[in-house]
Amino acid sequence: MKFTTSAEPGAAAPLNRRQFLRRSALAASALAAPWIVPGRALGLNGATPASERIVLGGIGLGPRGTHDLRWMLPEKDIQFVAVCDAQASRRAAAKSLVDQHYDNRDCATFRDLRELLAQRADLDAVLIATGDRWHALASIWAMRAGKDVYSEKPSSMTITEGRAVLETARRYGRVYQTGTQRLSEDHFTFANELARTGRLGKIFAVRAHIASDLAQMSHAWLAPEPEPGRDEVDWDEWLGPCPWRPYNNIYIRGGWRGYYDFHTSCIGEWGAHTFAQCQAAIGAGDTSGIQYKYVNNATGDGMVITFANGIRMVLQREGWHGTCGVKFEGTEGWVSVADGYRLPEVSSPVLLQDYSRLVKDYLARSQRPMSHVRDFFDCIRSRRLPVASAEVMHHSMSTVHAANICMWLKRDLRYDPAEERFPDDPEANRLRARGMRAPWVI
Amino acid sequence: MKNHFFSAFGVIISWLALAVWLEAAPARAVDPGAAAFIATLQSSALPKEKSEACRQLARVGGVEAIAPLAALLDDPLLSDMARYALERIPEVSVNAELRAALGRTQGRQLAGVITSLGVRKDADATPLLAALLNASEAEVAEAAALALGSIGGADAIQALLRQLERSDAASRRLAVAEGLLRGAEARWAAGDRSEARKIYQALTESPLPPSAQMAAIRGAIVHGGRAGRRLLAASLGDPGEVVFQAAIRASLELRSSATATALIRALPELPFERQCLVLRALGDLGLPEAIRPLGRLAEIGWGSEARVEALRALARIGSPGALPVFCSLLADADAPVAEAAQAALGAAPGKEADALVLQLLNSDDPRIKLAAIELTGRRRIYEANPRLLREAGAGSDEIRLAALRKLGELGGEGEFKVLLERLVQPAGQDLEATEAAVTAIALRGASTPYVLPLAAALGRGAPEIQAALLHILAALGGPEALRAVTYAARQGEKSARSAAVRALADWSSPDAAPALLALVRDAGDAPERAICLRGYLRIAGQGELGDAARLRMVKEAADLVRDTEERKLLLGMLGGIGSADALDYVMMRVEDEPVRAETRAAIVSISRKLLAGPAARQHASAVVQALEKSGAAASEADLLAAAKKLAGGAN
Repeated sequence: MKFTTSAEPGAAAPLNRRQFLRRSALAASALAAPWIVPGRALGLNGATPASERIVLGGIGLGPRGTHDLRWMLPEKDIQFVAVCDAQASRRAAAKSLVDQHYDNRDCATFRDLRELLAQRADLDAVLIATGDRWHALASIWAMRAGKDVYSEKPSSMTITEGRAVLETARRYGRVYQTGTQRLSEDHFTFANELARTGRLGKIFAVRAHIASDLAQMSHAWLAPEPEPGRDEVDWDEWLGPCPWRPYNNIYIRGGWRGYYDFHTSCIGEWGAHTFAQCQAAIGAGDTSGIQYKYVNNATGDGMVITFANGIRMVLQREGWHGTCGVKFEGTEGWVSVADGYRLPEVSSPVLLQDYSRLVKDYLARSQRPMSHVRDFFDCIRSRRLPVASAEVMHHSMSTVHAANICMWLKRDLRYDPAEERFPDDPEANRLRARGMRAPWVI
Repeated sequence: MKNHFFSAFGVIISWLALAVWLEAAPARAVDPGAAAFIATLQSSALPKEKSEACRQLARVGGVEAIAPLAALLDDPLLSDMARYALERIPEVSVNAELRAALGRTQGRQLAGVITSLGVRKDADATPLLAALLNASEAEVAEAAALALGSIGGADAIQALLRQLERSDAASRRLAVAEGLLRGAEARWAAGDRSEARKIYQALTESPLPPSAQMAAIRGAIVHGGRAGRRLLAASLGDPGEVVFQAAIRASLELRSSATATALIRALPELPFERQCLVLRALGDLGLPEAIRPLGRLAEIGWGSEARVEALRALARIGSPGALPVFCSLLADADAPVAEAAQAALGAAPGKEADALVLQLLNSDDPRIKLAAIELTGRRRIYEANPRLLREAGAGSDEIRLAALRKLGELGGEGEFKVLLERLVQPAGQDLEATEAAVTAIALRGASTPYVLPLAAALGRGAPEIQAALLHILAALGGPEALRAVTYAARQGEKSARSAAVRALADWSSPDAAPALLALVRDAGDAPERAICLRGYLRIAGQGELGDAARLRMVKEAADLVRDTEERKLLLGMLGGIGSADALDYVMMRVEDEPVRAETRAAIVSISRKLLAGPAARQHASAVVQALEKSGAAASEADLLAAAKKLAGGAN
């Protein structure tokens, strides 16, 4: 058997741009710490030669996508060359941002994701920052087309979608990173390492911040408005896999939150920020909660999710000084951290003495940077699994989805993470998946 | 009109029935409310209501809902929602309805129905779907390929394999490949390994888009058994980057000794850049089998870069088995290698690594001893403290200073006392480093154990040491420390007294104010008196004390002020107090010619604060008077106007 790099059997295998990119950059990265752009790959002026850059496309670039774009653009070894959005104004704004950064007018624009993937074979990877409804499908299509994926969170709408993302990433050997960036931040890493190394004693509970919004979702339709032209807003494309409903401009201006078809509730919104943290801290990154205790309130505040190792995760609305907070409680102490904390809060100042050592040890052991997007780019070059791989995403998001189903059905649930089903609740099992509108299917 | 009335009435009845059921139904009963949703579907209800009924039937619909839903499969507006429900209804008769709909739908509706048959893994649909693989509409043909893959039966796979040779367009080939990949996974999961391997084999031998080619090779390696391992070895050396990448990713899924062996054996023949990736994969695999060869590579590898990569891989594995390698390379002549070995040993988990570091402290090789000393800090090995104390008192300069630095990081009360004693000994050595260690220990923990030994040591040691001890006491704070420093400021030798005065002047809390004021009153030395006054006024400037307390402090100091410079200091402080009493007090000095400018500045500052406060109207007249009387009115026209306006309003 002979393998070639060409689509044609037996064809010669000349060194194309992408191969060259891999080889030279990999060679370079061997010398430096993994998160530093390798010196050997840099040109004389400090910029990575164009032939060695990771070529990127952006998909769905609203406020969050723009944030991500601004985060990624300064990385010297990448280049955005195309953006795709169903809305003309967002396409134009994203193109402007990219062109301004590179001081040219080269960034191509696409309305339809399928056209982007079909026409831009040069893309190595894509940033997906659409609304929740498109995250999984866009990721799957992109990975099937051979692109590595950085997807914003929440990265799936259902358990089945998450499973499909994981299987696609595995099947095609793609690098997939979900945007749970706190897995690459020092305060949160310190908290995880305190728990992991036993400094808090035996962990018996973790707490996850659920900041705002409601658990119950609306099925209502907003009043129909005339659809703009497809070039201005492609409503069909905007809806994608979701059930059809008439156009209203509120949806496309961020008002899609709170609707069952488009949003994963306050538990998805905030659990996507916090559950992966909590599960990593208790060694449950490869599984999901097994018991979900219904709470009779609007937000899920106080819901207790139990993992197979007996540790409880409590959804907690109040008691934080910032958003996306997590707290890990053990027999010998606790640690709590949220966005905006100058330092993690701890049960004893002694725990903070090892802050720097624990973070350094994590870096040495994991060989990862304290930058989520840098980890993604490093993994594109090395083919390692990123810190927030498809597996991490799927298992934490399955906990999110099971908690949502518990709130929607208003009863306690048991979940089998191995089988990915509710063993004694057929109605809950039906909510593990949703039909997708053709042709936006997986 | 009549029809509309009845349809609306029907919908209302349906929803009322649902509401009654929702209220009354036990939690897990089969949902009788499905009838209401079915009634909505069969009424002339609006699309919104029918769409919602489909959504609810996805959750609760049973056999009775199937036909009404199937009737909507060719409805352009509701076909997708009908499938939304049908896909979730477990009854097998759904499949027959979907199959029947294949003949009466087209375009997107047909693609949707095909997708639903795939979701439901309906093997009976295989021949019908196989016939659609050549459909003219790409969406239909591609949906058929994906659905057949999801079904994954022998016939479905044969149909896809036949299609693999026929499809021309890249998107169709990709869909067929995706179908076959799904089929292979389904066969593998069902235990039919040979069939799964045949599929991967067929895919690897076909011309495919690069993404599918990579997926095929990955599958062939992961599921290929012995042949897969051979393929892994061959792929690592293949010139094609897609093939190599597939091999690397596959190796990460095959966590076995055989994988580690294949990766290790491939290493010598690979170009350097691939060697690095293989080494990283070995690290990520975390298999103990890799420790020995990686250790050998780290020790006698073919270059500095490869040795460093080997050490990093060993660090990733995190096994105690790698510790001897790290130890042996701590002082390697190749600096990056030694650095990587130290980093690896520093981060290695477990007490075994701590024990090894403690042993290394006994090394005769000063470079190893030095590395070990650094590692005691990095690993927070508190058991090393007695040994570090010994090293800090003997050995080469480099060793002593390194030990002192680590004692600063790790030392406790016992080490503090020893180091303090060394610090105040006549003709002591390494005074600067010892002082730094003493300071670091004292300031790191609770202050209580350290104040009394420090106070007791005052009066001993060189003047600069005395100054250092006083500054440590000032940084620690508290009544005991304050008492000791105040005593030194009054009773100490000149140099110690001077240091104590400075320490008091820098005191962070207000409790030093009385001592400072007393020193202002009693000090014979003019510079010391000035330092104390400045320190006192600095404390008086702390906003948290409150305006009244701050003014009282300034008034107390005013009685002791001797010259123009000191009056200026006082006025500067008064300008920071935003109270009417402060304004009155400053106005008493308005005729003091040498400090006229400072008085005006203070009046303006206080006035601004008063006008910005909640009682601005109340103070406005006083501000007007003060500005006019002090002569500040001309230069502060805006402020004066604002005050007058407020004063006028008050009137």
